[in-house]
Amino acid sequence: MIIEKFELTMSQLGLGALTEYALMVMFGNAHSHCLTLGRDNNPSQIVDAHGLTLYPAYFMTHLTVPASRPLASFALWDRVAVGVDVQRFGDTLLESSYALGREDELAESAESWDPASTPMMRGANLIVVDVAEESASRRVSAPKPDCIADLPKVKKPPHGLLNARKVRANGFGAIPNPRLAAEAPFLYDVALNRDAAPNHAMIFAKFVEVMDYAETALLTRSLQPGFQLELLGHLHVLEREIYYYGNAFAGETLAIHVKGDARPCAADHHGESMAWVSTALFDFEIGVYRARNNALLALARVRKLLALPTRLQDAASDVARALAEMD
Amino acid sequence: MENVNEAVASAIRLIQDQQGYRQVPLKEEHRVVKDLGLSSLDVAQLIATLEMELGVDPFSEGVSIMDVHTVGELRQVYTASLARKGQTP
Repeated sequence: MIIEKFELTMSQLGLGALTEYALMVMFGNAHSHCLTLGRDNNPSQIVDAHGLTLYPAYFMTHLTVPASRPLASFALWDRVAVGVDVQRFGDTLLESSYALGREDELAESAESWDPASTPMMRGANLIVVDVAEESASRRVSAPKPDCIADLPKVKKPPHGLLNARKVRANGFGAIPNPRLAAEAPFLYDVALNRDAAPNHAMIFAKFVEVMDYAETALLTRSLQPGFQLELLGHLHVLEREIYYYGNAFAGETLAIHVKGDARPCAADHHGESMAWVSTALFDFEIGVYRARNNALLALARVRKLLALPTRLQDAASDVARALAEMD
Repeated sequence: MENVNEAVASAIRLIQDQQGYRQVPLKEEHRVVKDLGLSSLDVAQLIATLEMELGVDPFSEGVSIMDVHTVGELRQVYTASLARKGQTP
């Protein structure tokens, strides 16, 4: 287990506040450092018995964020702590817990991290041989013991392993009557360098941005009338559970299927802060496919809270009307 | 050797049951991925389960998972690992 403390900088946040993508990348960094704790090599130098480079491919992430503490409450130049606790099931399956807090907030024991008070994530990885092309199949391989940290071993398969199969077969089934739906999938071109580095698949966190693109398109373009774009900047993620079944390289096109529903919520759903007015809760189910052959790449369920800054609270009426018109 | 045979067969059956895969009588020459259709996640679960059941981990002893293709080869690496530890397979 490690806790890393640092300042949120422009390289992570640009000029804005903390985003889900930036947080997941920070979690991924800490996870990589944890994998080589006490070793002389860096995370890119984890190799198998044949000397092939390995990397921990995420097959599940489950982020939860307290409504009282949206990611936007973490601002540029804030000092934060990121904790990660990694356990191993066999040689090649990893199960991890992550937490984000203020610099001195996280307890030294991961069991004490509380999802009710701080953003947290659970993740599961499969250690595979790094591949540089989409056609190459994913091959599992065990790291040489001297290039990976001594991680505690668990005797139970990662929670995400069984769920990954269940969700693939049945979907989430969390939105029985989706009132937000598009007739066709939204297409997303995976751009070189913006979305994927040369000869690398997309980083796991990029799926969040791809899904957010489709979600925004659904809410602003597919609905008539659509939601005002500026309001969607105040949609705060409360939960996102993703199962990853494949990945994409630059030059590919993704087809994103998204459906959802929304309902009004109490103005103080986020807690006592007077800075915000909670307006509505949105639920989405999202499927990401390779457009060329309809291969499944990821399935996700997402819950978000629309909490408007108090200065914009008159726009809550627009949201209420839009939700009523959906009925 | 009988313990290893049973452990391998049982671990493969467990995954086939969980996944709803078609089951056929296991043969030594069956390739775990190509013939039995186990995915990379399934293979990871298989070797973790065998490590728990048999108490040895041949893949931390210099054996590469990618060199093990068939049910027979899988049995052999665990048998050899147990023998190295002075245990009866």
